[in-house]
Amino acid sequence: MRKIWQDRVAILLIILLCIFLANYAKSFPAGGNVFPLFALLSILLLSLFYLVSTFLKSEVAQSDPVESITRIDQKPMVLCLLLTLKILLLNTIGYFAVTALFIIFAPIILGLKQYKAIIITLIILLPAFYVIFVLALKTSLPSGILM
Amino acid sequence: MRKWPVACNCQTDRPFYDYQGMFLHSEEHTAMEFLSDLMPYLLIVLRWQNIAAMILGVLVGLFVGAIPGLNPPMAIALLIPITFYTPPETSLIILVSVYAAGIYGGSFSAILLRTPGTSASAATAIEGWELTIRGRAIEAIRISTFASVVGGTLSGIVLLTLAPATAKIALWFQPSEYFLIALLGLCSIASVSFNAISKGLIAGFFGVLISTIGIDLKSGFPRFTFGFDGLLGGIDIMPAIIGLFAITQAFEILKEDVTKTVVKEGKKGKISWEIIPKIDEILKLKWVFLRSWSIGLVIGIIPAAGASIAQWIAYGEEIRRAKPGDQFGKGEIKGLAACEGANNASTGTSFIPMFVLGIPGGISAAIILGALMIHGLNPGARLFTETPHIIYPIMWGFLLANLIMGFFAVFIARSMAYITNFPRGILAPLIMIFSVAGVYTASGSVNQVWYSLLFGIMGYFMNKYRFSTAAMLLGIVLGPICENGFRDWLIVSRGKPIAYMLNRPLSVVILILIAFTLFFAIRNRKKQKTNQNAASHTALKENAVT
Repeated sequence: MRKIWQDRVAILLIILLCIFLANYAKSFPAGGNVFPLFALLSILLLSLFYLVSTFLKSEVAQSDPVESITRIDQKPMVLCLLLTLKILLLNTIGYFAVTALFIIFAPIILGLKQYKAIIITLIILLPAFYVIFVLALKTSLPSGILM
Repeated sequence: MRKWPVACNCQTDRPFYDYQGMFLHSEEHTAMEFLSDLMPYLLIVLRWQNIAAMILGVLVGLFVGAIPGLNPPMAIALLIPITFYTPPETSLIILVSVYAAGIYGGSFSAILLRTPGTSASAATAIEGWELTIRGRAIEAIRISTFASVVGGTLSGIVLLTLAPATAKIALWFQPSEYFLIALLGLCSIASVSFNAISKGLIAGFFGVLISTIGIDLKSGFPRFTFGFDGLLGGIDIMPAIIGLFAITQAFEILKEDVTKTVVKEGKKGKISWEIIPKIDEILKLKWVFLRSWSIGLVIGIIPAAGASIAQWIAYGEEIRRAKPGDQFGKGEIKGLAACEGANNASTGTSFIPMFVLGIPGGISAAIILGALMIHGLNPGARLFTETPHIIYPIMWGFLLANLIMGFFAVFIARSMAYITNFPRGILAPLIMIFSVAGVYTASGSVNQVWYSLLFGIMGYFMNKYRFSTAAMLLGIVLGPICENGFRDWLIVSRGKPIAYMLNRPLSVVILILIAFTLFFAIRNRKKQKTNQNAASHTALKENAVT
């Protein structure tokens, strides 16, 4: 799909989302709907303005081309999945254990083969985290079943 | 002789204040007499306990501000129990020092990692990051340091000398003005988003909409929760900052070779010691500094406005004045200087409405206000008349803390700059680790960590479609101010909101500023496109000739 049409489709989706949310917000009682409706109306008008301008002045969209949405960046996706796994295991394994695994495996899975740098980062980071967050700031990070 | 509207030690048998609580003085003072009145309080600040307090506060503030996910309000709140064991002036000196240094510290990660340590450094991240990848990180840090130290010091001077007089400005603002100043902030950021202005405004208003999620405090009804209890408390600002900047940036970093560092141009490896700016660098940017400091000093006085708005208005002003050859969005040092000058210049003046009127200027000021009251001090005129031996040392402490932070910045900034030598494959996971730790520490909830991941994914797609993540963040920050102003304006106007607004000169001034901001943004965008078309036309001609 040409990039300009990807942009237009995105704006159309925003318009549809606004209509859906406005319909939902109508039911908020006691004046709680006024401001959300104002914000949604502003988004709707701005989106319509932008959509119309892409037809009237095609150079408006072409001078500001969106990145291709169909081109998927693999490494960000991998990092996103690894982070999801980290968050899921946070309370189960514990913060420090899951962080150690993340520091070791995330760079390797992403394609970095500088093992010395990974080990040095691990050795410096975990004690630093413990000193900062647990000893100094006295925050309670999840301990999990291993601690 | 000039009257100086501040408290002093003079004995008088006439009332010190009139019925409106305005400062009066029965004797006239010259400027020299006024300064000599302040000197005894400087001696209190120079006691070893208070110097140690300033140093501790500055180090904590720099550290907390620099790490994405940690923020000055959190550090201030955590330090309050420690301050129970110290005298009131020492306690408050620690807290105001954390605040001053925290706002500046946020610029380190903004410049080096495009990850603002606080919302007050979001604009810094735009130009600062571009300077870093061009090998100019140290230049960015030294300009940021100078702008912040001097801006913060000026702010301290205004706080110390003009607190009662300038507090009157805070009283001028009514609901319509709060609503309009929030809109001005959104328009400023839309004008600096380097894509279509309407896209910037769309992102900003979406941020405002996100801020309405949760229980509406006025009606008690949940909004946009879709039956999910986890959303009843709304979306905190911290997951939004971390998600839209830190996590999104970690995704962006990985688009290129993971074995390389983020620095694409210039010298890599050894980091220089040139943290102190040169005279010619300062003179080249003198007008930028003066404008940004002025904007910061004024905006800081407006309650709830604060550094977040000040930086964008200052940045927008520099873009409005852009000349051919300026590289805004691609590492323009003027943009960086404007953001950092304004955000630190607003710190001291944000205490003015708090000390004098009991109206905090931001989250940090609100927590410090709480600390003030815990120590038995109530904001208002009496703070200056009955406890000058406490309040004036606190203001002196804030001023001196800004100077101390410049000293420590030299060492800390240079150490932090080595982060730019990390390969991308380690830097991106490192940012994720700090992000998770920061969000979890701030909120104590895994739900907020999930929200930050969702914001990160949203930010990634927003970048693909050229919507400004900074505009969305500012919308989330300004949303509550905007909504409260909007709803109260509708109530006080009694069915005639437009007439009410147009009858208030301050509202009209802000409306004109909004119109100017949008007008110049559109005009500059057209000029930019004309220049780009001319440049590509020339390039085509040259190619045809060769």
